[in-house]
Amino acid sequence: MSQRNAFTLGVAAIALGLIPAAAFAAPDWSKVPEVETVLFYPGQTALEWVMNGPDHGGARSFVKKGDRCADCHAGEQADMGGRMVTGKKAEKQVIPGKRAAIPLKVKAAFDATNLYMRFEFPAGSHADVPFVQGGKMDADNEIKFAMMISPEKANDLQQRAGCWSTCHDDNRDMPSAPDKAKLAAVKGIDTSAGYVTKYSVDSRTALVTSGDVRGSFDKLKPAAELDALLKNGGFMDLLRWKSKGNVSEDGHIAAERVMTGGQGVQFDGKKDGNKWVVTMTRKLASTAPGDVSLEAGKAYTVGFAVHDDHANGRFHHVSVDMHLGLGADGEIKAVKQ
Amino acid sequence: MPEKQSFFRRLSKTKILGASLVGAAVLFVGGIVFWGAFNTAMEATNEMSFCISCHEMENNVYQEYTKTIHYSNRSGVRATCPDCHVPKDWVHKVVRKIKASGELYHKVMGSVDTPEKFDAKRLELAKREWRRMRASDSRECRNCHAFDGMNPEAQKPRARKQHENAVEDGMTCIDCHKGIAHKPVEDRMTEEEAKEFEP
Ligand code: HEC
Repeated sequence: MSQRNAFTLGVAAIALGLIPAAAFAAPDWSKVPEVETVLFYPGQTALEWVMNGPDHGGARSFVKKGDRCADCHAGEQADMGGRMVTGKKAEKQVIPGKRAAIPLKVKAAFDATNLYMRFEFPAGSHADVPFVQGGKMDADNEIKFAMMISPEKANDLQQRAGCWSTCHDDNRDMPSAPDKAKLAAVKGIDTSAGYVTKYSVDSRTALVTSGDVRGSFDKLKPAAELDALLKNGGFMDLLRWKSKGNVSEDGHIAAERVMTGGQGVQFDGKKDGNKWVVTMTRKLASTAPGDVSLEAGKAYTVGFAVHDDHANGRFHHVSVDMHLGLGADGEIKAVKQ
Repeated sequence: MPEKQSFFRRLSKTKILGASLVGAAVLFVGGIVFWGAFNTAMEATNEMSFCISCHEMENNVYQEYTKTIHYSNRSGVRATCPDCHVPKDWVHKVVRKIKASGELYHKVMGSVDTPEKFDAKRLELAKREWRRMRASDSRECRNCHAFDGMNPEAQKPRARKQHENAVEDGMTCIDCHKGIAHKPVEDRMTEEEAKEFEP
């Protein structure tokens, strides 16, 4: 069987759902170098908090000096998470017993067609959420794993802040979350769930980073400009895995978070003893709206999140911005197959 | 006859800068005594025990300070109230002391004699101290700390980067380190007020 035939067969098999994509053409992970980073509990430290001097000592350096979050915070994430998870800083709804941080092992490889990634992190124990009936926010999914990819053309702030560029003070369960009346008044985004989702900085006309009410959910750009965002890099690609049913989703964040519309991604994950192992296969190139088309030789700003222990919304653990290099420099160097 | 005047008599008639010799001697000794007393008094008011002899200081700022690194740390080097709040050199010290004498008036008036009153005035008082430190390029901090004495390797990445930026932009300690030894009140400033303290 020629390589091309094998490939065609493989694609057909995936299309038919016969074998999970990850099983197809996946690299020999034992040969791929591993990078370890730490996901930490961020509390209510939205982009607006990070950019506000009195709240955040790094605000000036981030806003005016052009530093990345990682420049200052890589390596100390566990200590940071401890400050928020205990409510010492920027967290009004403490969940006793929740872990401050989760170490994450990352491997990445690519070939002419796909990006392959492997994630591994220790399973944790359950901590009842006191403000949710039953103690679990998402009773179905013990774990959700997500990755964001910032397009090459994205603005500088987004490239340096990673996920934080989409996390705002007026999002769900955040300090400036709007009430029903204010929500109802805003047109152009879906607020039927009763809250504002993440949004990209480019989707708003202004950033409100200080004052009592922060965030810009109601400062939407005109529809035509919003449509253009997906072409000119004003969005974040969002890939997600859910533990229940081993579900993969491919969405994006622009004017709001949308969990569909991408070319698709194949995650495969399970709890393996006392750790979780999640692998991912994603086609490099994509023309689907809200997808970043990845190219060899380039590096991309990425971020990771784990919704640990049935968490939802903002109660997750996150990475600082990281660079994923496809044969290029970065904290995570994907090796060419 | 001049020669017949006794030695003492002659001496007593000698004038120094218009004062009789005896007068000058009295002034001289008096001066030493006064100077000694003045400096002793000034030093006495430069002790932490003096600073916290008022409950206004002892119950508020002092209690907060005892929980910080300037009070207790690994190597046991302690910075006490005057180390940060009173200049070391004589001229600046006297100026500071004269200004501080206004506190006596407020002590009598009870301006901050309850924790509530103290808290209400806290930001105003803190701002005064921040202004003083900015104006002197954080002189009292720099009596012990210096950029060129810092070992970046020993600092956490966040501090290393911040100090790099601070040197580059000619910033001063207090620009970032407000309230390090006391309850933070920086966040009580309105945006307008905060502008004044932007580096
Ligand atoms: C130049 C250094 C610097 C940069 C860049 C920086 N920070 Fe910070 N950050 C600090 C310092 C210093 C503190 C602690 C002091 C404070 O909170 O005022 C801090 C505190 C935090 C905290 C609170 C937890 C803690 O340990 O105190 C969070 C969360 C945080 N930063 C997130 C970010 C994010 C997200 C970015 C990027 C968008 C960022 N920081 C960029 C220096 C920096």
